[in-house]
Amino acid sequence: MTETVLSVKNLTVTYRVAGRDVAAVDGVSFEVEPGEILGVVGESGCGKSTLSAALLGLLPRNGAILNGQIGLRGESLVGATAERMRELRGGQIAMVFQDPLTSLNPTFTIGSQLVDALRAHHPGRGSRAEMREKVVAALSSVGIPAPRERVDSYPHELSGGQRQRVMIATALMLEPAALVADEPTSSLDVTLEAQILHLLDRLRREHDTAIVLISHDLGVIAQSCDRVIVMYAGRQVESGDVGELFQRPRHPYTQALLAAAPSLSRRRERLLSIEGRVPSLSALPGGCKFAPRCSYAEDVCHGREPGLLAVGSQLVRCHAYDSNSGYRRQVAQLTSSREEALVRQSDSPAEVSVEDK
Amino acid sequence: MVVYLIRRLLMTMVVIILLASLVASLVHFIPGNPVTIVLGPHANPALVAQAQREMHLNDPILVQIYLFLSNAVRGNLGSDFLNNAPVSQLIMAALPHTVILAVAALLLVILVGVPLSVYGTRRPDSWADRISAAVSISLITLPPYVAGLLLLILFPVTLHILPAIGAGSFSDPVGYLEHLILPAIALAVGWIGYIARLLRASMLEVLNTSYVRTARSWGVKERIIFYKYVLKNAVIPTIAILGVGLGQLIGGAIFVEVIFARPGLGTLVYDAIQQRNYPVVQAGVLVIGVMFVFANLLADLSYRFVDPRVRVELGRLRR
Amino acid sequence: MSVAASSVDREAAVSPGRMQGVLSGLAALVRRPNGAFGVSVAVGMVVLAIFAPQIAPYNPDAQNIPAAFQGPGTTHLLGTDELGRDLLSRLIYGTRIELSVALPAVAIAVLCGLVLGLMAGYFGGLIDSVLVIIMDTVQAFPAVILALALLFLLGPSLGNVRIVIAIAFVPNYARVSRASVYATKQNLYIESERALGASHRRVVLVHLLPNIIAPLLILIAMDTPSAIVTEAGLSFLGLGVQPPTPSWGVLLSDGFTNVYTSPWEIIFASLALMVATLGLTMLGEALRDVLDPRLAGSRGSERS
Repeated sequence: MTETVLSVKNLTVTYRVAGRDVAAVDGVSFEVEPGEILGVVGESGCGKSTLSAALLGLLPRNGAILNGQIGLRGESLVGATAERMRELRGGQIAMVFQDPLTSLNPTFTIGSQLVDALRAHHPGRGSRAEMREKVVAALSSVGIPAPRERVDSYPHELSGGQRQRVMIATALMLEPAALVADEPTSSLDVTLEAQILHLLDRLRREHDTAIVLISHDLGVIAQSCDRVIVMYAGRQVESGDVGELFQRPRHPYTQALLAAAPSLSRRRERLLSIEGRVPSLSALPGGCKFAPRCSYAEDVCHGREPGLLAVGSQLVRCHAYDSNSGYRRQVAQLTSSREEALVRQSDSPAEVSVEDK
Repeated sequence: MVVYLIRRLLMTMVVIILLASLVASLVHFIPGNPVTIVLGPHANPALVAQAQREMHLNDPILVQIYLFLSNAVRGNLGSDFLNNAPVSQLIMAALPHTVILAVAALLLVILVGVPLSVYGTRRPDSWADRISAAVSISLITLPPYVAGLLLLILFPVTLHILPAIGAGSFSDPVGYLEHLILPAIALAVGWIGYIARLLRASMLEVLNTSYVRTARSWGVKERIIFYKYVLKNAVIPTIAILGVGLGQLIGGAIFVEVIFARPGLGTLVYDAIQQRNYPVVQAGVLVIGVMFVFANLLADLSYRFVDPRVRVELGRLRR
Repeated sequence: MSVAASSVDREAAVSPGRMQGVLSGLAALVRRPNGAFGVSVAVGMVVLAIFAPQIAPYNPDAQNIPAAFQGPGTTHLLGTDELGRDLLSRLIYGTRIELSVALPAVAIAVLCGLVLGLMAGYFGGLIDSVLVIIMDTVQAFPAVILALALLFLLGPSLGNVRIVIAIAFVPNYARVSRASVYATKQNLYIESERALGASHRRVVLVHLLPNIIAPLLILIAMDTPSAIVTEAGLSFLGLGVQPPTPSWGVLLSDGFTNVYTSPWEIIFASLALMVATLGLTMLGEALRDVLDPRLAGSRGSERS
């Protein structure tokens, strides 16, 4: 039985804003095995970045983990000392950030920054030449051309894609057990995106790294992940096997997300979108957070927040799947037509051709 | 980059020439005839006319400016009114004391200002930070003359330590240093506060950047992040300000020199103003202005050299 | 055309909404510690300056040689100077002198700078280049040296100090208004294609002024203490306000002459200067925080 690398239970993270505590992540739970890629998907403001910051212990000064557990290879990260967190960061759990253009220090060479990263985990061991060799090897392993010269380059001499590869090279070099990739391809074009995703895949195959891949791009999630969590307003609304989620999305939000994704294979008159906006975290509605925008919402949805229930191989947070909740409509109706939900919302007849897949 | 350098130098030259021209034409704005100031109001009119011709005061203004400039470039800044001594000599005698004072003050600004702000910023919002901030703010309120006067009261007058007058002589380095301490502190104090606050703001900004977050995510020790990454990035914009500061220090030196009776450029100009010794005033203002301009230029260039983004471009051009 | 003009009018009018904005801005200002301190210093100085005759215990010019060089005491709260004049009264009247030099100087600088910058930005071309070169040259001098040279020419007096300080500060305002004009001109070219022609000038003024008010106010708040310090320094050197007019710089100079006899004149004049500088500078910073938080730089954690 492989030991779970990353285990998150009921995690709640709050920010102190204007004297009040606001929850940006509420009750999220998941586990990541070695060599597994877990996707986290959701719109902006759903709490994805807060989640990643909390995992690394890099929350800003007004943020705090209110509740819950984070386990890294059995060690609890919640309540760990700052020094212990520092030791773990990079070597045990690392992160790749969204914007490669600003993620590297412009006044130091690539080489010196990577050596600093190495030194943080292997202090005193190895001369400068040895460290340099390791850095060159790491750079070359991610496909950066002329790595020996590149080591002495400054970040602004590299392209965005190359800089992102440097970030991943650092992760490779440090060999962490877990990696959190926060929108690693959002600022890159499609070809670069493919290369980066390929590198992540190598990481998990060659080093058994457990990866949390955060993205708002469903294509990326579908392509790379084994399992996935859908987040909305800080809550986990659906999670489970990625194939199942894309084939048979249970939660109305997931259905809406999938239906709203533009696709080349379907021809539509209009781009559909989910009506309404993500609620502000300091002014969340009572009951189910998605209810105001949900076309299947009933009274019970506005009144009480649903719990996370097992539905098949997935976990879903929706009253419609809870036989004890008082939700009246038939569940079957929910899963039949994703577009229908959106069309009903937008209230005008659109020419929709449902592709047979 | 090279093009920029050339343009910048040209601009500097233009400014200096304008400066010199303004200074040269100073003469014509003085109420009264400059010659009668020297020779007295009851001087022989023939003598006055002759002096005027010798001093080219009747020539067109552009000619006067040209003469002034060509003389100045050759090191001839005229003779002073009192003793007919060559002004350039007077300036050369006084200049070293002022330059040493300004450099000493600049060193103090760096050696005290940087640790002061680092001490507070390392522990944001702690008592150390608040004290450091309070100290910085109070220091800002001390212009050189107030600081100088208060130091004068405290040390030589009340406590009877450290000299109050003069610069000492170069043959006695310890004595010279003793005479240098209070004036340098007085001159530096205001800027220490200013730089401390500036550096703090700069450091806080850097602490919030993505790349510091990256380093943290790699597990790099906070101490290394602060002293290596943050300091280097925060200092770069501060260098440019320090350069301007050097110029301001040169300007503020006049107060300190007057208070402590130091024989520098400031006292030279000050005394000359009192005595209406206009060639000295002219030359003094010109020299101070030129020093200021070059200090600014130095600051600007050093800023661009320290920033690797620019340095690399320069290197590329050389290949 | 009428639609565009009326929308412009609506922006320009001092509506009740705008007054409310000003009042709430003031409230935000006073809520901050440095704003509260700054406002109280500023108000205090103005009150002292206006009501000096009522507030000051003695006539600032009243000499009383037997009582010279007294330290703080019951008859003279802050002591007396070398001619037996009451220090407290001289300081209070000094507030009047400081403000009467600093405020008009800054006002003149603002007006001239605005006009010059507007002209440079509006006409562009040669006028602009010439102006930039002149401003650069003026700023190429340390303010003190510039002031010295000019006072040497004009002769030392209170009025001349005002002028000299104004000249030193003009480039700041010229720069700000010039930059603002250029920024507005960018936006204007789009509209000018719709033949707004004659309204050019008007729209520049009407769109420009609201944008410029915030940085202008901040500059003014920061320049006023600077002007006071510069004037005091010049008067200390004997090149500005002349004794017996009780500018704080003159008090410092008198104190300096007699420093070995009595330090009190220097001490209290210095304190006055420091408090005024601190208060007004803090007011400037608080204004900057309120009007444009972007300029304030980041802080550790947000606390309000």
